[in-house]
Amino acid sequence: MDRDADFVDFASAHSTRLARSALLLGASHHEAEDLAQATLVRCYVYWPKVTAAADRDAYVMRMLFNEFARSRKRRWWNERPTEQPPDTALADATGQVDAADAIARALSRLGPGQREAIVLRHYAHMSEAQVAETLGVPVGTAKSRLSRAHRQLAEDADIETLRNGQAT
Amino acid sequence: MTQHETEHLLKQLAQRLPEGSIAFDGVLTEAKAAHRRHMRRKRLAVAGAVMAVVGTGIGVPVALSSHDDGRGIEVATDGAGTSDPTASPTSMPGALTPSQVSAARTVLLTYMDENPGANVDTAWARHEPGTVKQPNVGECTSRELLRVNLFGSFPIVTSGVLDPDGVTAVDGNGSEQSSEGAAADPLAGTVTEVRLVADARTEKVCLMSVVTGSHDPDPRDQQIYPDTVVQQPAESESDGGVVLLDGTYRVTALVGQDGESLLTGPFADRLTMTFDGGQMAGSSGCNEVGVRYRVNGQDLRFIEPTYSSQVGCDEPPLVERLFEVRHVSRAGDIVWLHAANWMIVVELRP
Repeated sequence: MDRDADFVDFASAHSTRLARSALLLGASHHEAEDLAQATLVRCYVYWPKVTAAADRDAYVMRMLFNEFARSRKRRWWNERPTEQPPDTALADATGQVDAADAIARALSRLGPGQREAIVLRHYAHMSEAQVAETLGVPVGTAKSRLSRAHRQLAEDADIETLRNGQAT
Repeated sequence: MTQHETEHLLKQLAQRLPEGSIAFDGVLTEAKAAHRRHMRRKRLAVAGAVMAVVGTGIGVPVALSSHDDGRGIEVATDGAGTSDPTASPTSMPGALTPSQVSAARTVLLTYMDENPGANVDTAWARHEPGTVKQPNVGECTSRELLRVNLFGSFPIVTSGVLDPDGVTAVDGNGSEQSSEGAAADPLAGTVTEVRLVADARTEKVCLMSVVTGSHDPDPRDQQIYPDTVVQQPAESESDGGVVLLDGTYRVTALVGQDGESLLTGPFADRLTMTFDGGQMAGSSGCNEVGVRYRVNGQDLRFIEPTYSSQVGCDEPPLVERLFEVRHVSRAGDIVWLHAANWMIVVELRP
């Protein structure tokens, strides 16, 4: 198979997972789709490296995380202060806590490293060793991030509310 | 919170993004365009590398000779300029010994592209001083070799250019070789030989080794290849490979990702940068900016912006481009900031 055909197969198999991973990292819907697309484009450009990677999933996920970090850096830099903030209020979630909202808010309260570890371990279903490789940290560090993230999620008020059956 | 609970909740959140939300056809089209831009940038990096030769090191052209040992064609620099296509690799001057391999850290090979007049390049990096990295598939190419540049911990050790006749030699015809003379490297302990092997069967060229050592000067030392720009560095400006950066400069070139000039618009001639012990302060046109940086020898990183005025204007994206900078080199008063692939990002003059 040629590069294009291989890539199309790869993209069709991974695009949704990449976009959803970006969503779980904290990107908006549109950002998540853009990040997944940008990651796939980079995969094509560096296709020999992607195909040669010992753990392709970890390698590609690392690319996604880097794209996400870059997008945050760009966004930070491109943002300009304004005296007229957009007149849109966030929805009041009181009493309307559903499971997705609860986990979204709980994830937003995790540190970036903990959040990445949780997404890789429990959404991408990676082993602790793969999580460590993807994040570029020792396995022990990945384990401690996961452990702290689990503890924080368990104590999170939104998750607690969800557990108590107050979710809709 | 159990693992099952966590996975269940993450799945619920993830499913807010519908399946198949990305159009694959569009991705492939965009990916191909990005790949073309990437290859173009790599070609531009060659220009940056050549500029780096001018800027920071001792640019000495090296003759390349060829040898057919029955398995393929070996092309090697011949420090003494006595190219002998019948000689065995081991009889070449400056035979490889690990202790002689010292300074070279990166080798940039430039090949002829399929399109006439365009070139592509492949960088080969050696991370452990004093060792030789064996070639692998990723370091081979079926393209014709055009140019060799070596980079070392001391900026540029040497560079060589293979002329068109030499290019013919690497793809299987051992009877032809570089007809130009050689210029010997006058410094003991620097690179005197680059060995490449062209596999006659696959017509791939691989970097085999980099050899260092001293040799007798050649009477043709002063000969310069047509494509090679040679300039002695202002050695007083550097200290053992450490580029002295502190000072105030005008930004005389700002290069975009695709090699385009970004010094356009009404503020193009107002960009300045002042380096002072890890803190860069300057003007990006109509805004005052500050960025923290770290320099170590030829490695330079802009770490984080420390301040910026917020005047809205159409100014060149100086600070954004600074975050692409990974290396610095200088010749005399001129300083170049390079990307990771040595492509020039910024040119500075007093």
